[in-house]
Amino acid sequence: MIQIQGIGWIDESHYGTVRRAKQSHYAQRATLDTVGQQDGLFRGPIKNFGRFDRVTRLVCTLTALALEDGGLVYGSDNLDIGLLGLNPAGCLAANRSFYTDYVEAGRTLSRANLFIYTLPTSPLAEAAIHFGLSGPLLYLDPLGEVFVDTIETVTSLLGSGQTKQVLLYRIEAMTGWAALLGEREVEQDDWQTDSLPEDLRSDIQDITATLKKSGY
Amino acid sequence: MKTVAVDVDMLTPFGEGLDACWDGLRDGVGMVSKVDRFSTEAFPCHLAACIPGLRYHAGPSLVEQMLQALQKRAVAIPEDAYLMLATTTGEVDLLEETILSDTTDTRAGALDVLLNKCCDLFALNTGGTVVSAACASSTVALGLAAASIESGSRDCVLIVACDAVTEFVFTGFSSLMALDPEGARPFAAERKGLSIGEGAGYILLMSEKRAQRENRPILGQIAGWGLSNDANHMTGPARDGEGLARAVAKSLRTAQMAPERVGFVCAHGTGTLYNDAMEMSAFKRIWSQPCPTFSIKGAMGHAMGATGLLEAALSLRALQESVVLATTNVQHVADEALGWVTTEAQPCHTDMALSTNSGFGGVNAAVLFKRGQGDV
Repeated sequence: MIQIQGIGWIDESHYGTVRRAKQSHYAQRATLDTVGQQDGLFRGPIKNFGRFDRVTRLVCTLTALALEDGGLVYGSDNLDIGLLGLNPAGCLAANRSFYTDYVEAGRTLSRANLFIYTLPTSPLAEAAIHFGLSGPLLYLDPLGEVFVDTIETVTSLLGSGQTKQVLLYRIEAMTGWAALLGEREVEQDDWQTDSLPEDLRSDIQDITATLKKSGY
Repeated sequence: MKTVAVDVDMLTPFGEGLDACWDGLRDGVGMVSKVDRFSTEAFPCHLAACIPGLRYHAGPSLVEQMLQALQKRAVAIPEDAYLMLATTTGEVDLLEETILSDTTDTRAGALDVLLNKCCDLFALNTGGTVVSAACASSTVALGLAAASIESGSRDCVLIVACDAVTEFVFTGFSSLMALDPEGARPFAAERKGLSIGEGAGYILLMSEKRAQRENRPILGQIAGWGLSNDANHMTGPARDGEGLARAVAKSLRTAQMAPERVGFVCAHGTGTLYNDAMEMSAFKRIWSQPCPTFSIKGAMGHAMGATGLLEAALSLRALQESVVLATTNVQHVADEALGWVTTEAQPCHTDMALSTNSGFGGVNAAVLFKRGQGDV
């Protein structure tokens, strides 16, 4: 049975986890895209963190929180975990930033450091490198009911043995979450969801309902 | 439930249709030439493989023009086909236009906009999704589509793939020093980088049951698929090839097949030093004896997110013709590829082929095809 094994989330003022009911108010001491580093959520420095765009920093922060919530420790060995990104804006901001910079520089040569973020999978790839996640890595942008198609993809990846667990990300402008999904059974009754942001509560309900409906 | 391909089509620098592309590749024709779509004066490389006749920054995007041409040729695509759109940058030329003209269309170039256009163009009514996984986008979509058909969730999936040669992409790869000024020479000792290419194509997949019920020609079967990530570097592959080997091993495992059953490999073969060396390392982890291997990118460039779909169609055709294609634009095969990479087309009587792709962020994907009975 596929279940949510851990969740990391962040909004404009707080970040937290679900299983371990961690919650921290950061707004008065850090910003959304610096809090992961400032609060020591990473086990070590992330290479090139300073040049990451905001979405990439957010993805790294959410990955650290979700892995912790799922009881996983990352380190020297790779983890067989896939990464599946849902971000309706894709990499439009990064694309705009890259091409604007190129035009402003006189259309001679562009900056490679900006170009590498012009794929919707780039933030996931940075997380895969730092956290050593070696499962499938992809981005989906489904029409209609987001979680129906997404959960089907997750079950395909797990059911066909492509990977043991999947980190599913949903990033909006100033909020985001990452959910660790896998077949290991965990107790979900104790989850403290009352204090979660409303959008996240609703997404968790949708994912759980879709999983139940799919029969996995 | 088996997943079978019942229809394929493509638009490439060789022109409209699989026949044009196949004939060009078989005859060793090269389509990489000087770019005239935009100025390349500032760049060290001036070559790419473009589709003649497309209008740039003048109305519909490059990929929309490609998809319109494909749609005009398409027949009998069911309206209930689930759409998977595989692309990396999609309509990024629209975003270029807004920046160059200083206008503020913040949705220009958005992938979901292209997905909706594609649904409308092919008159599909059961939804769909963008699938993006760098230059392995199409191959990942093939795997996901096969999984959804095999599980019984769907019985008909249309994968549409497209990417275009734009100034955006050209300057980006130039900044990475990834382009070979003399044109891509995959697996050659002298290789210095890739050539950007473009194209669009579709492949219509069905459950074998539905294909038989509708009396569709069965062009081939997706027998297995595998996905992995290197978790190593943003733009360079893991040099030991372990990540790609893992994807190939998964494809063999899902197909329940030994490596020896595979008759040839349609490799990613970009022409960059590291990619091609990595691929040979990966294949040597799988096969103890050389398996005939080719790349199409010396002839038609690297069509990025679309390349996997074009290579899938060509692999099905190669199975049908019992021919392994030549790798174009290779004078001296690199030492590590000797005995593996074909420089001349050769007969190959097999019913199984492997196609692989890798991309930025360490993405790897592999798909196994089994020959069908219908004409590809």
